[in-house]
Amino acid sequence: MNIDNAQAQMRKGVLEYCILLVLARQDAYASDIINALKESKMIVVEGTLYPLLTRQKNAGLLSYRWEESTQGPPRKYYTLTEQGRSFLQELDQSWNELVEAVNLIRSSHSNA
Amino acid sequence: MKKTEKVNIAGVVFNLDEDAYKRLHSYLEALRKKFGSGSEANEILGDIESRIAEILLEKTQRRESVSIEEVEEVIRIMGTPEDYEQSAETEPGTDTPRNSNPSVQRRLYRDPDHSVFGGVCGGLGAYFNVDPIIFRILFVALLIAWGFTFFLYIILWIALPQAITATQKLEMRGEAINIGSIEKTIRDEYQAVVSNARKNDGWDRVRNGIGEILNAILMVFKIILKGIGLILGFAFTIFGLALLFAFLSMVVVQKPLITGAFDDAQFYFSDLVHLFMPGTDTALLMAGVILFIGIPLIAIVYWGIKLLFKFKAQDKWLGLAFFMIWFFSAFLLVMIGVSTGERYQRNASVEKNIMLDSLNHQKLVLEVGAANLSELKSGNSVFFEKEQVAFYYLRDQKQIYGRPQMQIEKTDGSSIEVRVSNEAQGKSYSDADEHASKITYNWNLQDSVLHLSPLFSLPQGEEWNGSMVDIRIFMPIGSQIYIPESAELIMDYAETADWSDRHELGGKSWKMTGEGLIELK
Repeated sequence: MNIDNAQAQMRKGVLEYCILLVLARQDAYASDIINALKESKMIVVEGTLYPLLTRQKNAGLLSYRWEESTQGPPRKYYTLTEQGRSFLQELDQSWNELVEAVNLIRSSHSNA
Repeated sequence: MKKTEKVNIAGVVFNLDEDAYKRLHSYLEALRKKFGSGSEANEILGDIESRIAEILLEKTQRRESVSIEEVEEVIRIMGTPEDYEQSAETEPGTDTPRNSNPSVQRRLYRDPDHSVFGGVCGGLGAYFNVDPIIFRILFVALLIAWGFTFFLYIILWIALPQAITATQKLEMRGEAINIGSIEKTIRDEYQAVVSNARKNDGWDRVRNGIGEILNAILMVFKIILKGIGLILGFAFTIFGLALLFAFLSMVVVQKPLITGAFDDAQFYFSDLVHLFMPGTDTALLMAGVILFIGIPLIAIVYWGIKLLFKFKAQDKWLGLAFFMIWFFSAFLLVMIGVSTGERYQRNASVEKNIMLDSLNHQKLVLEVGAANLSELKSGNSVFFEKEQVAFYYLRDQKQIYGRPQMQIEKTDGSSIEVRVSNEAQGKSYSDADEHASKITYNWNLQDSVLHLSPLFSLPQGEEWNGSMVDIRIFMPIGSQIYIPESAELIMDYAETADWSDRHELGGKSWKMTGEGLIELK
């Protein structure tokens, strides 16, 4: 198992969470979300985003509207829904619990 | 120099170099394979194509055609198909909660998420993949037409389990059971609960309350039914076994069928067949009867045991096979029945008439011989005696004896007339005639004395074929007759003025009048 593969796996797990976090701040295009992630040093390829966005939209967590673009075909402008917001709260809690748990394991590991 | 292909990506027209086109095409095909088909997959691929169009527009602003390097660049940005590996596999790619996946095993549950009372219609809807409202309408309509539908609903409520766990809910809808689908089910439930919590007003609470009460009542019913089920299972087993045993001992082991049930009668099954169903293969008939009666009995015992010990078995094919055999045996019996019926379809009789000279003979004296009944009813014989009808079959000699039937009637003629008919049946008239002529009945008329034999007989080995002997005495008004007591055995009917019982006829003289026979003192 190489490190890149393991890293990619970890990232994929939190990607859905990150998408919701970005959209919680403000509505955005898919490319905006990518950029926000890149700024925060979360490197992902663009392609992996689209399936996640569509699935979250179908699950009712996001909605979008079409915006015309001078640079090509119309683009989807995503926004977080009510459901999405409450789901995000749940995920926040899950994340905190997860981090706590991992930290505990780390500290007991380094002490041993 | 390169060839170019003109393509349309997300509505934007591009000119791609031939090799660029091939690369992009195979890339998009690989993605389509990963995502499959379905509206969700199409959305995702649409988004990807839009983005590809955007990127390409940016890159080729000053040039006419897209080169393969640019396509490679696009692929690098968007991600190779391998990058999509994980995300394409963790989700099942279904876009509707009620899908029609036929390959996973479907089970009928009650659906608590789509329930008005108990989720019966919801469960039915999930199983058949239609809107439960259809079943609700069906139930209400049937209820109006036929009240029993209410009990049908209750039975379903009791019999069907509720789909509680995610796995059960997936089974109910016939969806694949993997981590992704379970997760999705839980998520769907969560959202449904959240949106329902806001709508829960007074009416819903009332419905819930009723539902709870009904559930409690039904629990009680269930327990009672289980108890009944056990008792039934036990009863079926015992009953079935008893019948089976009795039946087998009768038919197979050749014990007498009925003794003492018909005023002295003794039957053996094979004798019955031989006598009354001429020409029938006894073995075949026996096999048919055993199967016809035995298979249902075995089935009853089997179901009884199943109910009692509550085990399931893969016995559909076995059951089908047995049913086929039973059906065949029924068919066989019908055929035998039809062919037997054919043998009795024609009647014939051989008659002999004697008229007494009216001047000299106005009184007839009957004399009926005595029958050696002890020999006829001995150990190795089959016989049937009921009132005045009797048949005897001596098994060793294979010979049949029977009682004739006598009738005394008024006639308008002037002479006493005695008519003796030997009657029999057969497949055709000539066949029946042949059977009739085989009957041996001894009687004669000397002066005014009519000597009658108490029994007629058939030749050895001859089958019954409906053989009967009929004696008719026609008496004009004014004529007289002496009836001995021994004649009571063969008396079928005498036209008496006061409807005397046949047991009152014997040992007396009678005179025929306009109203019938009256006793002469």
